Amino acid sequence: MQSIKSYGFESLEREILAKQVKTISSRLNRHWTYEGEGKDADLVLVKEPAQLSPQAVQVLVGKQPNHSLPFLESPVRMMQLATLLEEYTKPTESIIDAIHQLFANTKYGSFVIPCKLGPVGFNTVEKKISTKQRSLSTLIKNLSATDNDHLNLKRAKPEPDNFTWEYSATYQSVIWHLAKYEGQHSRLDFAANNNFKLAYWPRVTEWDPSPINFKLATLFSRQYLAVNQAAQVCKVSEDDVRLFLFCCRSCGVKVLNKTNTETKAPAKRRAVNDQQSLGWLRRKIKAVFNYGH
Amino acid sequence: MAIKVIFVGPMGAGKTTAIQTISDFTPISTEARNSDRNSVDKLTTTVAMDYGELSLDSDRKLALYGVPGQKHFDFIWPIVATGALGGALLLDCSRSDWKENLTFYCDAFRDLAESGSLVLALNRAASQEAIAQDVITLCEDMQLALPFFFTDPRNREDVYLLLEALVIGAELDNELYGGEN
Repeated sequence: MQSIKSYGFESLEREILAKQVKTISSRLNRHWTYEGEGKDADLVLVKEPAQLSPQAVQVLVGKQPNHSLPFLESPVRMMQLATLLEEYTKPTESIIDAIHQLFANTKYGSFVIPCKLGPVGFNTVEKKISTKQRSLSTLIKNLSATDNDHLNLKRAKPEPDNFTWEYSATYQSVIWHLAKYEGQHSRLDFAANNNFKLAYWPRVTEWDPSPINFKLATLFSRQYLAVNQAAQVCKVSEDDVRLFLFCCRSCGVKVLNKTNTETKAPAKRRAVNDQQSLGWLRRKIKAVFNYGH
Repeated sequence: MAIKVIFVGPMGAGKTTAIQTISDFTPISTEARNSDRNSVDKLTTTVAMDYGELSLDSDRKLALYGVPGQKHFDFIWPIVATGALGGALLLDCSRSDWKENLTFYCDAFRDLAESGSLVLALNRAASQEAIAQDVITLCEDMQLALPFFFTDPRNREDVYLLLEALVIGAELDNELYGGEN
């Protein structure tokens, strides 16, 4: 998803711009959202040249300027804005990014895209991905083998009537497993001594249930913690912790990052003195879920 | 010896059912005729407390307390919460006021929530994706990253999942902070 903001616009202009972006966005390969007034977005429409955040592309709205800033006539017209957004649409960087783009808009409902190892169904309303293959692992292999440029709405076909899929999974569990697959083959950028925290709970018990994921989710949703500390506490490798954080981030869970922060117990942390009872309760839970850890 | 877990939430959210589902014996209940059928259409409601137990070994048990959900019983909440391993906040997501209830009870049990010892049990959730998004937004506003699960309080594994979340939290606290607190 890419963002657009305005700077120095009247409220009526903002209202019109929001509607224009919404209309145009549904026709582009990549989803654009209008986020109101501000200086930090992928694209910022300004009335006068302004000091914006370094990543923002500045587009002057008004009269033809005598300098080289990108320019839109005032009032902003749909076609010109569409051309501009198309021009500044970034290519998708990964298959995960491409799938997020497909699900950014629910208006297309369900459709099929031919992928490398067979067709894949996308239901943007029910947030599901389906395949003619019979398992999640073959679906992941199929998506991973597909060029991310191929996974766009231009190649989408309507789902034929009475078409049956062999296997369906939720969009986020597919993203999680794709990230797991891709992350194992990449160098992940979570420095061992930086402290990380999840802004909210990742639904790992649905996306990829495992005792380690449950533990890491609990750990990082409670406090900032360094990768090496988490690895020590959960008795896994640092790479496992990085992969977990990468999967969370890929699923859209915000991973907050703080450097040089001491890990402190939250102020109202409760001590559990009766550790033996806790151990017995753990055994009881293990028996119910038949865990092997 | 006993450790305890509390079940909190508004009337009709499923607290009594959750305790019944995992307790070794029929929970001791203090049910009375529900005089507020406009809020929740059920015949009886808990007026003091529900109590159940889960035996862990011959002399250890997990005490399960169901806290009366009506707001006029709020004086009892901190008393029951004292010394608890954690709490499960049960919410009936088919009710229009479930979001208000989430913020209200998180605020009422702020100590548990801030210590990471509160988990959310979302019951009767028809559209899970939309509800999950609402929970995330509400929790982010409260600066809390509470574990949340879609559950059915009649399902044993679902109730055990809540216990597991609390146990993992306690185990991690012991691992990380030991006897600090």
